[in-house]
Amino acid sequence: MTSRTKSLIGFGVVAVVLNLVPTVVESLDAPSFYVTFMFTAFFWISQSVSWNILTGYTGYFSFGQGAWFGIGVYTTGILAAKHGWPFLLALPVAGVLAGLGGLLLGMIVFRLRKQSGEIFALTTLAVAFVLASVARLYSFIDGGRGIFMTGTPLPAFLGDFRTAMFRMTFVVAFLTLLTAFLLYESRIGWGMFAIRDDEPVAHGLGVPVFRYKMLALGTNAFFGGLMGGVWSLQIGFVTVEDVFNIRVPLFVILMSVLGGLRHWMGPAFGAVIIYALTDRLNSAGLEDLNQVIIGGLLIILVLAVREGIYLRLRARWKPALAVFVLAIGVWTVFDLGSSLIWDFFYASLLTVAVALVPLKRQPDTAASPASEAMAASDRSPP
Amino acid sequence: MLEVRGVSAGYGTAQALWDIDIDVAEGEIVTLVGPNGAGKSTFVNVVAGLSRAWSGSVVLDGQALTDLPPAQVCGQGVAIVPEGRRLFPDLTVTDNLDIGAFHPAARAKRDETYERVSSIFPIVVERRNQRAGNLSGGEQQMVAIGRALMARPQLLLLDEPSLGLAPVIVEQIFDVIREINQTGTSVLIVEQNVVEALELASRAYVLENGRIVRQGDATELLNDESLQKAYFGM
Repeated sequence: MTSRTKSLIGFGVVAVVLNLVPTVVESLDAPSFYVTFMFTAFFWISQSVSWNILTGYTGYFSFGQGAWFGIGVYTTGILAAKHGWPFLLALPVAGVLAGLGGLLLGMIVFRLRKQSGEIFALTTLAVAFVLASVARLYSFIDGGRGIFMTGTPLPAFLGDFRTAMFRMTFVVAFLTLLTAFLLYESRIGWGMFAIRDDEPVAHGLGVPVFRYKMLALGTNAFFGGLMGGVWSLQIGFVTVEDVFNIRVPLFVILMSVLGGLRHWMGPAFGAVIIYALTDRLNSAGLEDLNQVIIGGLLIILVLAVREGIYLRLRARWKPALAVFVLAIGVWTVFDLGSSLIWDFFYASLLTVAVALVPLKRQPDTAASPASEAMAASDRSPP
Repeated sequence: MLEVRGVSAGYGTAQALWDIDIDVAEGEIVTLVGPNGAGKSTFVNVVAGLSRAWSGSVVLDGQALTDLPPAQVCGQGVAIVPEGRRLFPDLTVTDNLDIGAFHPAARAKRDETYERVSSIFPIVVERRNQRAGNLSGGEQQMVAIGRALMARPQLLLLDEPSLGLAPVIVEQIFDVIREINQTGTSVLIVEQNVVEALELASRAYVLENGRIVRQGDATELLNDESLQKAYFGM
């Protein structure tokens, strides 16, 4: 069985298990904020992982996540809340419009004869500003009045609001991860990594760099918009200030850098850790200290763990897993945390600490996308 | 096979090449020599499509390459070994080679080409799972040439292959280039190492300040007194 097949089976198992969570939580009569916690984590996972498809894979640093997210939020807002479209019909439109927005931006910046990372980064930042002004100016979008999403009808088969949010965010996050994984393992993925590492050489060796950069940007924008489309419901009252601010792009960057840009799973790890941290700090009543603590932690982690948490943990997955399971066990048995989320939070922090322990370098293993598949045998191209 | 006619090029407003004419015939090794800053790398970049020619034309087997994007130039049969090798340091040796076999025609014959490349450079098999960045300079140069060969080029463009390598390694690399040429690949090699390059090539062009100042049979140029004075201090 190839490693790709194994991973795909893993995807299937995770999908089935996670899909049961709302039902289990309900039947155990556990607090419903468990479900909220999880679907918010799905939101950040999808945003970070999709951002990484552009920035981690091709190396073009983007501040544009807020723009794609915002296009998604306003699309479902306008279509479902203002024009009464069925929500599930408006949702794919949100993804497609954001994706087209990404492609339009790519048509402009990737065609410039003189390209640079700085120009790209600044342009993506500008896109969100422009969209915010447009939304504020035109009343068919927002016009400064905001859009009420509460009361938007959802199909009955999705369950109550929390369960529906869980299911929708879950599907989007799942599709984002699956796309990131399939790209990572494909020759298109390699082409993207070659662009990241040395674009002129990649181009000279036959990698269609324009097409691949467009694909990366379009995929990033599509998933950012699709998840944004779902998220309009959670926002409830959509305003320009809430949607087009620096929060989404900034958090996505922090999460991805912490988790690691060099692997498709890295940003998902970073997203869970940072989201859990902010959530627990908030619930402990430390909102004011929140940013100080997160900022400080990030500085330490980014300096100490440059390749990101994920690859570090994978290199020592046995001790990491042992620490996690042990911590959860101890906390639960001695009832140290006030809820399962606290238990999870402490266990995660301890596990992250494992990543900081230095490890002897293994010089001959390359952190390359295909090295796992190749370690055993000579590989022919996919 | 390769016909370069009247090419001028440069960066921004700074002109680096004036009216260059260069030919490479089928199966030939041609070298373009000249001092640092003469415009050699600019010329290679123009042929590979990485820089745009201001005027003039680059034609390969009747097919115009001028203004094609680099990936398409590669698809037409020109592969580049860039100055300083520029491997993908975090990828394994095999991954580096596979990026060379990116365009569809090369991909279709990947396994066959890989066999050939590994018979020329046994190192790519011995070190296949190593990070390219961990190889020595000479090994990296071999992988860089192997990577270009994976594109199954009719014309191999080498930009300063001797750069930063010990003389004995340069010797080896140049032997391999000769071997590659004997299996039917035309070679255009740009070098500062004038003696080695002239010994390898059949014909040569001398580039100074962006203009071709001499051209002809490589052996004749090697024995030319004025050139010896200028380049070898003899």
